[in-house]
Amino acid sequence: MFRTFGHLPLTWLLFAVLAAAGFVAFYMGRTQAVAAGAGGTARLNSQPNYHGYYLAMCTIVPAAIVFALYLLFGDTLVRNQLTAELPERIRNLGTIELSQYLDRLSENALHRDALSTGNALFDAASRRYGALTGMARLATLVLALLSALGGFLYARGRFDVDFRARARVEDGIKFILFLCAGIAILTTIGIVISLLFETIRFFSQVSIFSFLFGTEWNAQTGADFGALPLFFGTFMIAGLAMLVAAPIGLYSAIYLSEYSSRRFRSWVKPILELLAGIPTVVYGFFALQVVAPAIRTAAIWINDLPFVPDGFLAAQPTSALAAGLVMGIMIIPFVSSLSDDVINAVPQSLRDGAYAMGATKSETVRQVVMPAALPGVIAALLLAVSRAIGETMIVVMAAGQRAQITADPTADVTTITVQIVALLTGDTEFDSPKTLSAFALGFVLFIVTLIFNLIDPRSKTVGFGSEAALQRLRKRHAAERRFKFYGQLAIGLAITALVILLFSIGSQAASAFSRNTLSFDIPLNAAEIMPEGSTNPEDVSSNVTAFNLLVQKQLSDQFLGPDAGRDETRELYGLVTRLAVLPMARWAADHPEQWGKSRTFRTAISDDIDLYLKGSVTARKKVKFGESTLTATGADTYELTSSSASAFEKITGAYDRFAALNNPDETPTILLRSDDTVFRVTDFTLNSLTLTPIVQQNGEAISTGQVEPTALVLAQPAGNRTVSDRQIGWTWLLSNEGRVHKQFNTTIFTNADSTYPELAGAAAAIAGSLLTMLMTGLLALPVGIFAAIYLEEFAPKNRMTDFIEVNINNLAAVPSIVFGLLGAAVFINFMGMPRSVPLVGGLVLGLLVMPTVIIASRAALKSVPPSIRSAALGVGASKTQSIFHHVLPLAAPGIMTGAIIGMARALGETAPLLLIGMVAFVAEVPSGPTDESTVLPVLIYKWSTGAERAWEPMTAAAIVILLVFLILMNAIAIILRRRFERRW
Amino acid sequence: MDGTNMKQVLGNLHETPSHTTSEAKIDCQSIDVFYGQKQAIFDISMKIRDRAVTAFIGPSGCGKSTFLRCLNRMNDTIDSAKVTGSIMMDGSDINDHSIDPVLLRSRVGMVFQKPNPFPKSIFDNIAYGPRIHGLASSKSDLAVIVEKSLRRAGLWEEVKDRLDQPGNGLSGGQQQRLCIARAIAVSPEVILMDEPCSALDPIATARIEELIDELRERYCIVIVTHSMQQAARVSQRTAFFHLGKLIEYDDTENIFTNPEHSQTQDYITGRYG
Repeated sequence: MFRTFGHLPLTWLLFAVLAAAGFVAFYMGRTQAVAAGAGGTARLNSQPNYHGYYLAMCTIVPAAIVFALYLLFGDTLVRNQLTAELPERIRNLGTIELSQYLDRLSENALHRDALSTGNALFDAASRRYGALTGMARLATLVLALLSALGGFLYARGRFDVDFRARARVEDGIKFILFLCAGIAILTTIGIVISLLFETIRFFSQVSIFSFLFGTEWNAQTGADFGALPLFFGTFMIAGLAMLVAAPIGLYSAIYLSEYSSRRFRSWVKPILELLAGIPTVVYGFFALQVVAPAIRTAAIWINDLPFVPDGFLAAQPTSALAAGLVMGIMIIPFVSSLSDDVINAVPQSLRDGAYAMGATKSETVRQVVMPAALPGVIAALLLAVSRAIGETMIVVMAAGQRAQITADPTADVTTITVQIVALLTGDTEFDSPKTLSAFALGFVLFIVTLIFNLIDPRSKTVGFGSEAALQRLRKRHAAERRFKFYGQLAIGLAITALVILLFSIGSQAASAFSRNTLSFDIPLNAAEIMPEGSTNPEDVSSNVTAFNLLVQKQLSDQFLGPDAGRDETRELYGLVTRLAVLPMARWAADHPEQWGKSRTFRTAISDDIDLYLKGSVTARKKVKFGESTLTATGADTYELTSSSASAFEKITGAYDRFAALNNPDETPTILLRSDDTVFRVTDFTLNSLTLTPIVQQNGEAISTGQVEPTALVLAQPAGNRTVSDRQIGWTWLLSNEGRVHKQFNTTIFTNADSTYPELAGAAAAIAGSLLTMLMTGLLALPVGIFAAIYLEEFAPKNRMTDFIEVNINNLAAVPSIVFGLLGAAVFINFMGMPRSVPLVGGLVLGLLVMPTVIIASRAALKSVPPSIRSAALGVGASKTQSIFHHVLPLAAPGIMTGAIIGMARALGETAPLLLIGMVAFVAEVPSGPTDESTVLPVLIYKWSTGAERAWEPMTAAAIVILLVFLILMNAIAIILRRRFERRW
Repeated sequence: MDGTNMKQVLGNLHETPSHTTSEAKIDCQSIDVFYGQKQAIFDISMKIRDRAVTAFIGPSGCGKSTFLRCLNRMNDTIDSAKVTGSIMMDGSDINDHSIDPVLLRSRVGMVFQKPNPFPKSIFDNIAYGPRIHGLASSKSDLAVIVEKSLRRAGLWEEVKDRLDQPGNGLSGGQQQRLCIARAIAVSPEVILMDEPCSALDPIATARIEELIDELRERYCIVIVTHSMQQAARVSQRTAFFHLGKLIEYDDTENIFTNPEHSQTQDYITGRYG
């Protein structure tokens, strides 16, 4: 009988009952207090609302504790009891097998219509499982209700005019705030423990010495775990990045704080900071698409120099230099913003002292300001280094996979973070040394970045009263203008990098937002579109083959002669991808009343043709002839003569120009269309063309005599193109008929992912991102803000608080990929949550942004002047009241700004999500937080690794969508900040 | 002593205080205040009269503000501060652990050095206290309290047409009178003023001083001031503090015309301060 209770929706039931009970208790408490305070509630110790809150609190909390206990231990109890009852044979299975057996039992038992498997033991056990669960749930429900009643009666019994309900309620609030602050510290402990635990397991299988000092890394095969090349690669790339970021960042900071006008600074500083707001996956794409090929070309050029030995530079398609350069651009703002703050903090009196002695500006900066600011500048550089070491996506996309130690920056190297991603992406077993090695690497990463965060040279300085600095003024230099120029150059370089990045992505993306379609008049012949006579709409909509045949038949009827070869047929059918007819099939299935009629459909043209039409497959030149004469000179040869000499000159000119750019054996192609025939030009002189027809309308004779043809010179020969001469010819004829349309590409917003670029869209990823953000916000915002309130307003100033504070600051600087490891180890492995779902993604990102939210909220709370607090306390508000009535509303804009910026960071985050499996191919738009899904930045990463060229503009388009979201969020943050400037 | 007694002692709010002027409202015995290890107040005992203005004077850092903050337990909000000794208000010890400092502060109002209106409307500034203490059972009740408080603070005529405008839009003097009105709104028995005029110009100061003189009819007022002229003008009793000790405490007239201690004499005549 208990089995029916196994299906009890305990969570929702309890939630509803407790919410209702809470409301009732609140009103009863309130009413009682109002009645007791008849004639004026001022004689009550606490106002009626507080009595209500107290009663509600006492009712809900005990029941919630009972429920929490059930969540923590209920299932374990049920499983232990069941295991004890199982036959010995099964009990003696290994731990893992037994738990899998129990999983299967529970899945079967809790299914609403428990299936019979035919295995008597299994079925009986499954029924028993259901019954036990039912008992547990029923008991929980009854206990929860009883404890709620008990709490209610207890609280009601304590009512008195002088009862301090407000103080009790405020204690409750304070406790909740304290718990939230505790979560922040639990996260740190969670990271350390999960990493440490798995690392220790790893070192029980692989010796720590061979891990730290071995030079062979073959973790994928589980053979060698010498991580030295990884450490080398990590520091080499971080070093290259610092070579870019340190000078540019420092000179920018100096220029902005010492030389530039206020107006210039107010414009340029936000632009530089924009570099830090761009998601790293975007930098990765930029490194892979733009920088790495450029470096390779440059390296090949150097190799070809006469005095350079052959193969001097490796010139790999991905390289340490590409990753390092782009990473350097990314961390410029980390150096410049922090240094700027430090330089600004140097007292004006020091500068005045130097100027008074006749020093120039650059001397003052170099000899007085910089030495004084040095500790802070070093702190900024260290932060940038730790950021570079922990950075993941740029190196994953642009550094390569080969574990090698080399001094050649154009070679591909691999890093700690790359290997973590490589080892934990895909299905992972948590017991193999391969997986465990990722945690060992993560632990090393955590320790290294922690060290960089803990070194803070600022604490060791004695202040700014540097006598030595002032003395150095005696030296004179006249490097003023040069120095200033360096500053301008640095800012120029940083902004140029930003512009190039945005421009290269924007220009690529532009082509993906439009796409070409081909229209077909399709007769919806019932016999052809219904497989085996089925009128079931689902069968019709999935009948891709039939619709494909219809499209292909139309094409072949129009263009293919009876003697068409297999290649020609394949090329013709290649104009449209098989799955592109899906919308057609779906429409037909939805409109059975239209069957038997004909309808015009627009079908996505295949990605290569689409790229050709957009002009990116090959350079080309179109030349129009005036009156010309076409004559047949042989079976398959024709000759074109014309009086317009300029047309021939243009053709020759374009041909020569293209030929000069090509390799010697690559001759440009010339095609010519006259009416409904496209010819290939086999030979040309300055007044005639020799032609051979390649495609024509079926059944039409080639019209000779007076014609007005158009020629097309293509830079690349057919062998170098993804589009054949014939395909170009057909597309030309079709577009001449007006059947090729360029339209706005809505697929990218409406379709889910696909293996065909022309059909792929970002809808699923956008939905996944929104769901993940929802979960992130639900975790990070309340917990972060409450923790901030506790730490800023309530926490006693003692060692514990200091410890939590240091922790939170460190947490904010832990590389994001370490949070991914935490998610994989704790949520997926330990707690058994599903992979690839927004719930887990949101939890991981929530923990990731929580420190940001806490720090921003604390700053906002701190900025509310104490006089407001005193004023509230002075009229008899309690501390909690003064905070919730006055301080919090005033700090709200600042808190919101911090929250939005934190959420924007989460939205652009990629690496941790790769580790919890959100990289899966998702063809369905997710509808809830436990559906398998992916997010925008991960989709960008996935698309950027696609082999076909058409993925490039698609990736760029997805980046543009992501950037639009980010810009919107940041704009809201800026508006909030401006709109609610301080009001005191 | 428990909360119930305190409540009886603190009395019914709307009742007019029935003490005579000579009676002590507050009786402090051997007060010491420590900030961490540092002692700020040394063994101060004094009685503060009801329906009179008592002025605390003394050089900077002499502990007069610290002592003032003992009277409504504002020192509780500073973690390191510790107060010992007994402060009896109408016969009950305000430092007793059964006394809720929050309720105490609704009986002992405070006006701060710098005007600190809430960044809300003028109406809401005044109404906040009555609201959290349940002093008004309806909207119209609340409006009556707001008007009465503003009238007593002498601000009503100036702001009655713009009650919904932000309190920080007023001039400095008006803001300070708004803060006084806000303190009056919860019907306190004692009003503490911590250098209320130090951020104001002479005309606004004169206006506040006039107001203090009027308020003395109903309340026990304690004012900390740097200005000896102000103390002489508004107070009936004056206490002179120096280095955390109470040097002299007497009727204002006596302090300024015939001080007992030479230190007081020196301070008043401007030898130091």
